[in-house]
Amino acid sequence: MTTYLNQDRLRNKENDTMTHPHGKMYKSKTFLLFSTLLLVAGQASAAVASADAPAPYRVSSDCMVCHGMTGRDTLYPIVPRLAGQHKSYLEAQLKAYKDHSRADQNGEIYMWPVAQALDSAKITALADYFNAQKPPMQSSGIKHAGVKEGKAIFNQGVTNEQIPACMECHGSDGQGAGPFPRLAGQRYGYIIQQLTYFHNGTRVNTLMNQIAKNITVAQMKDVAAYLSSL
Amino acid sequence: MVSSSVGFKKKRLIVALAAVGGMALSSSAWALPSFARQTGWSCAACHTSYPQLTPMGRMFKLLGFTTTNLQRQQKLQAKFGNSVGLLISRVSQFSIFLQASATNVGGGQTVFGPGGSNAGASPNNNVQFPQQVSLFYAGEITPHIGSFLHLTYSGGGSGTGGGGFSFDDSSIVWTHPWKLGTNNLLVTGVDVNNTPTAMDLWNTTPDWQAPFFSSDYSSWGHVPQPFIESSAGAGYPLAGVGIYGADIFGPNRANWLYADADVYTNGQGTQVNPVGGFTASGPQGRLSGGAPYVRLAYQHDWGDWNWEVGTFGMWSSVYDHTINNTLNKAGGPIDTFDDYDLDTQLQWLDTNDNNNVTIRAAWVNEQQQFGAGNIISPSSSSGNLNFFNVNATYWYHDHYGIQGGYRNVWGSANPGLYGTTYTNSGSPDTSNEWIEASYLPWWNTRFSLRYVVYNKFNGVGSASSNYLKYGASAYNTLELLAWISY
Repeated sequence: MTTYLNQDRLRNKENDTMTHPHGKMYKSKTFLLFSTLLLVAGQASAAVASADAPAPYRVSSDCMVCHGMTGRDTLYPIVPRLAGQHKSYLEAQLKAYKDHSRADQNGEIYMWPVAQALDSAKITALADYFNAQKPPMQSSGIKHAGVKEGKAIFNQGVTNEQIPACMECHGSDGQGAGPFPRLAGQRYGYIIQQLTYFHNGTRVNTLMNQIAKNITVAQMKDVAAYLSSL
Repeated sequence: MVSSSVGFKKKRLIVALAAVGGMALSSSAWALPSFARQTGWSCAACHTSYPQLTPMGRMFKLLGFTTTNLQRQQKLQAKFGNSVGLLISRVSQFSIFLQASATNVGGGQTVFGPGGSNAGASPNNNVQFPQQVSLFYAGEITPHIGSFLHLTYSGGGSGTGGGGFSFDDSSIVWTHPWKLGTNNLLVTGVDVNNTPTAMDLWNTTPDWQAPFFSSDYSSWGHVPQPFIESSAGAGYPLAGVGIYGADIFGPNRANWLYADADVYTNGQGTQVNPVGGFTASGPQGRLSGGAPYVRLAYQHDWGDWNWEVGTFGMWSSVYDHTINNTLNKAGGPIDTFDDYDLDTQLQWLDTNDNNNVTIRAAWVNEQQQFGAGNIISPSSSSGNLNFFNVNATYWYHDHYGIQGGYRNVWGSANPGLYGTTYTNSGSPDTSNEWIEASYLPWWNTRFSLRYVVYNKFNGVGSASSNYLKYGASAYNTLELLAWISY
C-alpha cells in the first residue's frame, strides 16, 4: 500500500478515500484484515507504476476500462490508442465530446458520458498523462493486407480522386503534430471507423470531411493497414 | 433466482421434491440500471443483452462496479480536515427487476405426481405475476469499493410455500488495478459474497448461465442438479470471503488470466440444499467446515472475438441428518459433494452495429460420497452426477434475439437422493433441447417465448417407464416470460 501513498491520485481530495491512512481507518481491525488480504493478493505492489508518471485517478477508475492504463492496450479494435497522442488533440477531442460537437456514434455512446464529468483542469491532466506515455509503435503485431497500397496513399494521395497525401498534415511517419493526431500505430478498426465517419459526415471536421469525401472502403482499409503497421 | 421452497410428496420415503425451479436455475444477474446511471453508459456497453457480459462489462465487474462518470457535485464528501474520508454517490443506486411468466407443461402439472411441488397449481397454464421482483442496490460505495446487493421477492408458485423475501446473489468488493508493465495490468479484489461463482466474469458458471430465468412451474425445476448449481442466492444461503486477480497482458489485451478463491460457510444456520432434488433424508445439515471454491479461467481476445476456457472446483461437506434427526448441526454422517467444472465461451461482437453471438458450454461433474449410517444411499457409499449445458445466443440490434441449447443431466441412480416419483431406481437422467425467441421493445424490457423439449426426464423415456405413466414429452414446457428492469 505504501507505494501508493506518494501518488497523485491518492492525494486527490475529490476522488479518493485512502488519503488519510493515519486516521481512524488504520485502527480498524477490519481494515487491517483487508490490507493483509490484499497484500496477499497483490504481491505485485512493489513493481507497480514506478517507471511511469502517476496516473490521474480518472485513468485507473474509468479511462482504463476501454483504453488501458497507459493508453496502449485498448479493449476493442474501435477504441483508439491514446499513448503518445498529442496533448492539444486530446484536449480538443475531450472538449468536443463535452460540448457534443464531436457526435459520431461511438463517441456519443462511450465518450459523452465520460467527458461531461470532466472539467478543464481534469481534461488537461488526462491529456498530459496520455501524451507522456510511450507511443504504441508496432505494438499490435497483427498485419493487415494493403500495407503497400496504404503507404502510397498516405505518402502521395490519389491525385485523380482528389485525395491529398495524409502525410502533409500527419507527418511523414504518421507522427502527427499539435492538433493533427498521431496515427502511427493506431488500431486498424478505429482508423477505418473514423474515416467512415469523416466520409459520411457524422464526425464533423471541415478538413477531413472534404479529404475523405471520395475515399473508398478499400482505400480506407489500405491506409489503416499501413498506419496500424507503423 | 432464488428462494423457493419445498413441497412434499409422501411415498415410502418421504420425498420432498423441490420447487428447485427458482433455485437451481440460478440465473440471477442482470444489467443494472443503477450502473447505467452511475456511468452514463448504455446497457449495451457492458451487456450483449443482460445478463450476458461483454469484455467491457467484465472490466467493469473486475473493478468492483466502481467506475463512475459522475460529476463532482453528484457526490457527497465526508472530510477529515483536508482529506476526503468518504465519497458517496448522490445518484440513486437502486434498481428493480420485475419478472413474470406464463407456463404450459405438456401433460399439465399432474406430471409431477400427486402432491408434487406445485400441488396448488391450476392443472395447466399457470401465470406467475410476479414470478420474481428483485431489488438491487448496486454500484460504487466509495472509490475502490463497490457492491452488488440483491434482494428478491419470489412468487415461488402455489403450493411451494414461496412468496417471501430472500437475499439473492450478492457481493461487496474492494478492488485495485496495478500496472505491472506497458502491456500488463493486474486487477485484484477482495470480496464477501453469498454465492459460488457470483463474482465470475463469464456466463458459463452456475450463477450466470443460460437459459437466464425460468418459471417455477416449469419441468426444469424438478431436475436434479449438482450442489454448486443449487447453491445460488437463497437456494442454500452461504457466506463467503474471497480474493481474485485478473492479469491482463499482451498487446490489445490479448490475454486475460483470471483466478478466484473463496471459502464458504452457512450464511443462515441450518439449511436444506436441494442437491439432487430434495429428499427429507438428504443432506440437510450445516456444512462441515468451510467449503472451498477455486476458479481458473483464461480469455483470449482478438479483433471482434473473445474466447474463454475455464475450470472450477468446489468441495462441500454437509452433515446428513439421518442419525441426529433435528437437522444436523454437528455429528452424524457427513456427505461430500465435490464439483468439478470445465467450461468455455466464445463471443463475437460487432460493437458498431450491435450484433453479437455468444456460444457457451459447461460440464460439471460431481463426485458424491455418503457417510456411513446415512439412508440416502444404503446400497452404495458413493455416486456421481453430471450436468452438461451448451447453448448459444444471437442478438440483432439489441432488439431481437434467438437462443437455444441442449442440457443433459446424468449420473448414478439413487432412490434415496432423487426420490422414486418417476422411477423406482431414482434415476436423475434428463436431457432436453430448448429454443427461445426474444423481443425487446425497449432496451430494459424483454419478452421471450421458450419451448423446452424433453428426450428424457428423471430417467423416464417412454410412458411405460414412468411410475406416473407419462412419457418424457409430457414434460415439454412452453414459457412466456417478461422481464423489465429500471
